[in-house]
Amino acid sequence: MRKMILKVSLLSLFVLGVVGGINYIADPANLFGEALVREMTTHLLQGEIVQSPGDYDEGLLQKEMLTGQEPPETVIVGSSSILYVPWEYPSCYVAGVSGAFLRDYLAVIGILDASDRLPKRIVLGIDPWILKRDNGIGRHTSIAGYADYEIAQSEDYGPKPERAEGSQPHGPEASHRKPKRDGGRIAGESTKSRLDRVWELFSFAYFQSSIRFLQQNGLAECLKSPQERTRVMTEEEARQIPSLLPGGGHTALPHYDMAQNDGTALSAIDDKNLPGMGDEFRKVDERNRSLLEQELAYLKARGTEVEIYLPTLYPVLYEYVKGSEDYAGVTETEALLRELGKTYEIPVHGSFDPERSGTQSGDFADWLHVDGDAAIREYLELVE
Amino acid sequence: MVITSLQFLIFTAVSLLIYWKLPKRFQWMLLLADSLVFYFVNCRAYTFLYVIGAVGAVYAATCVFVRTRAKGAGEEERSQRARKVALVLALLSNLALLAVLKYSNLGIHTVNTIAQLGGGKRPLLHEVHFPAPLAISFYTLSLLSYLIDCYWGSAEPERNPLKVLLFTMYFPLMVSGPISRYREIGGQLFEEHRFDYDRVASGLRRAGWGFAKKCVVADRLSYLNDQLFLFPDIYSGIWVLGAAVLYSVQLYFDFSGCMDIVLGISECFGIRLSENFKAPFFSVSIQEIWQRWHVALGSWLNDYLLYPLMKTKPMACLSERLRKKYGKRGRHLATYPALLVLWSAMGLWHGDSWKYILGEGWWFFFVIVCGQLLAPVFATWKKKLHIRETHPVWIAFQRCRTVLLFGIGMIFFRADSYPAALHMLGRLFVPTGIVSPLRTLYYAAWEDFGGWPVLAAVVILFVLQMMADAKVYRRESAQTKVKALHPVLRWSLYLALIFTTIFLGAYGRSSFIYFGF
Repeated sequence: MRKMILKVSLLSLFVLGVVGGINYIADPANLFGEALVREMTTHLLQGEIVQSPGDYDEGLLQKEMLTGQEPPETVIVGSSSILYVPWEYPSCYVAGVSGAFLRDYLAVIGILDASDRLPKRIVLGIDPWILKRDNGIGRHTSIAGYADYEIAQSEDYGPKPERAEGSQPHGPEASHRKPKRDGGRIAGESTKSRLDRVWELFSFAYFQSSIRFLQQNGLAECLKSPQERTRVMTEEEARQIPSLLPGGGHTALPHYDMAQNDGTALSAIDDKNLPGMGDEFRKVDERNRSLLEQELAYLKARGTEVEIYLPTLYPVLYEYVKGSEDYAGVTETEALLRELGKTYEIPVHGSFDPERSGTQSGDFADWLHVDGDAAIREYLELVE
Repeated sequence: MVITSLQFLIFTAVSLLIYWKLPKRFQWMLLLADSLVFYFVNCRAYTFLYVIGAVGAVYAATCVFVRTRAKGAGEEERSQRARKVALVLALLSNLALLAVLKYSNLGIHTVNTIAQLGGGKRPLLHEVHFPAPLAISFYTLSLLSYLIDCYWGSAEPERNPLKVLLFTMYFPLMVSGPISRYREIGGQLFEEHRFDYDRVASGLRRAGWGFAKKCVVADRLSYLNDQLFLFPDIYSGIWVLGAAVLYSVQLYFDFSGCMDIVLGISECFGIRLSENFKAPFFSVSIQEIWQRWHVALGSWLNDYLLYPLMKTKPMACLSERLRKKYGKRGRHLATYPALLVLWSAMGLWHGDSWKYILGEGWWFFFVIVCGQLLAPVFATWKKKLHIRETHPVWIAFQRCRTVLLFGIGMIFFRADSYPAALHMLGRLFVPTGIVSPLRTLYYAAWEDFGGWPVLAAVVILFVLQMMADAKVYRRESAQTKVKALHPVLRWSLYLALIFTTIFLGAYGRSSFIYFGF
């Protein structure tokens, strides 16, 4: 048996060593590159525009940015649907993280709350799918602890979160413990993300991405320091090349023609794999609904103004979901948000329904994102 | 926790280490603990109650069997009645649970379709969604085989309910089977196992091979098949046959890859499970391929459905009547209703859709009509054409024909619904050429497929698997040649296989296809 254990161990160490080593060196998604994010933050806080490195820890960037500057008057929280909008608030920061789940929204607000930086106003850009039952963990695991913190802070407000049938408790049980707070940093906030990073370090899928990255960029590129990899952009360059703005927004959203967007949307419908919803979103998850409501109640009780923005769904997609029982959750979500808006006196801007918001297919950059100008027009013109 | 994930590999490695270090009498308890962990990680906790209910019903019935066994002559009839009632209750409760959790929507769709045919515009009933326990189709049949074997007296009822639970939930089986018989693995699960280097090495080799089959061949081919099945209007004519064959290959490598991993891991624990595939692509008829494909399901249905059905009074009467009318041939005819039930059950087992039943019906047609009714006609033709049954060309033709016909049935399994399958089959007669669809396929799927390196790996692995299957077909061991190689060469092959899988496998693509059943 010892001989077997020795052979298997040596083989595993060799294989995992090769995989882990290449993943760490190439690191196409900058999972192990906290230094890169910190370097980017340094430049952004100095008011400079920085080229987007593609994949990077967006949660960590938001944490560094939000805790590294004086709190602005308005913070916009949401997914990529808010990143390209030219917001018109005078003192404003756009704290968007792509592909956000509800807990990512709560995490960003939690960062502000835990560091006593809750702004005068929070605008929540709420995607149609964030009230779908999810896995109870935000997508951006490096800031997941802040979501737990925020849920614990808001537990006494609004209705008590009910556990959906068959679900596991998400985050700390509200009645038992609140995450320890130490100068704005949540104890244990990075434990979960560290474990996720260990899995990614030895992940075969990530290994394949690393090999591709090495083939495309060469080893020299991978061995560059964070300072060498961070490129400051001029305004002119930033219009053409995806970049991060000091105010939090992004530039150079790729635009595709309508036929291509229609084709992509129809393909997703055929595959029954809609963005954020997958193969179904039949009804709003009760627990997520409760979490959102208690957060809104909490923010209002803290004196924070809240506004809700509903980014329009691509017309071909909306046409499909409004007639489909499998995606009834979308219209249910909008109705619910409007009801919450009335209950808590929260203005609701825009609509998932393109007819209602006056947005057409030509106003979309791609099948997921409204063009920035159309989005701000929708935000300003349609408000209840 | 997918069984091709790093987490599962670590879970298994740790379990094995503890298993071989534990005092032997506790080994089965560790397997049970592992199985519970695997279950709760992969499934919603409350569905475990269904498993407990199923096991509880069967356990209670077997307790009745034990209690009513040693009775005096006077109580024989009462005991027999009690045993029958216990059997029927346990059977019905398990089948009812399976029917509700898995087949409710089939009934609902059928009612709605009938209502729509009758002129109704809106569906009468709405779909329901019950989260089902992990591997419910597999463990239900395993549990029922245990119940029936105990009733028949061919297996000894287990007194410890935790051991029955382990037999039901043994974690490698909770992925995609195979459907196991208690009399085959029961003893192995609970007996004490000593570490055997050769057996563990063989198990690891087999599991590694299965990993490669699933990740490199099956998951990569799925990119191509997704296109072929999604756009039958583009890929028509001969492409439909190509899709049929390609999907059969994908399914074979997916399912048999899973079986290799499951059987390999089990072997590492000292538990030998029965083979589920016996070189199916070497079959010369549809009947034979179903004796070599998913063997566990076929033999289960034969032993617990077909043969008992044939022995019932109505079937016996029918057989006698037809024998009197048609002689020996009449006896064959009498088996057809029972076979129809068997093939329908096989289709139903695969999923809650009529497409599976139609697919099975396609094969049933060939088994009965071509394999039996028209057999004398074919025999005459072969004689006239001087075709020798043992000629290699004739055998090759039969094998190719069988794979094609099998693949066409698999179209029903892969298509979204039976109308989609029928539409695709209709496109078989609408030729669209080869070059233009090939170009479309190239642009749509070549990059995701992985390009030339993956194609080369798929071809090599396919050829190696066919070589191994050729040995299996001749009832030889497929691992003998590998074991006989020089250690340096052998380890080089291991490393080549591992790195081929890591470099070229598709990850995060899909779970095992049969996991859905």
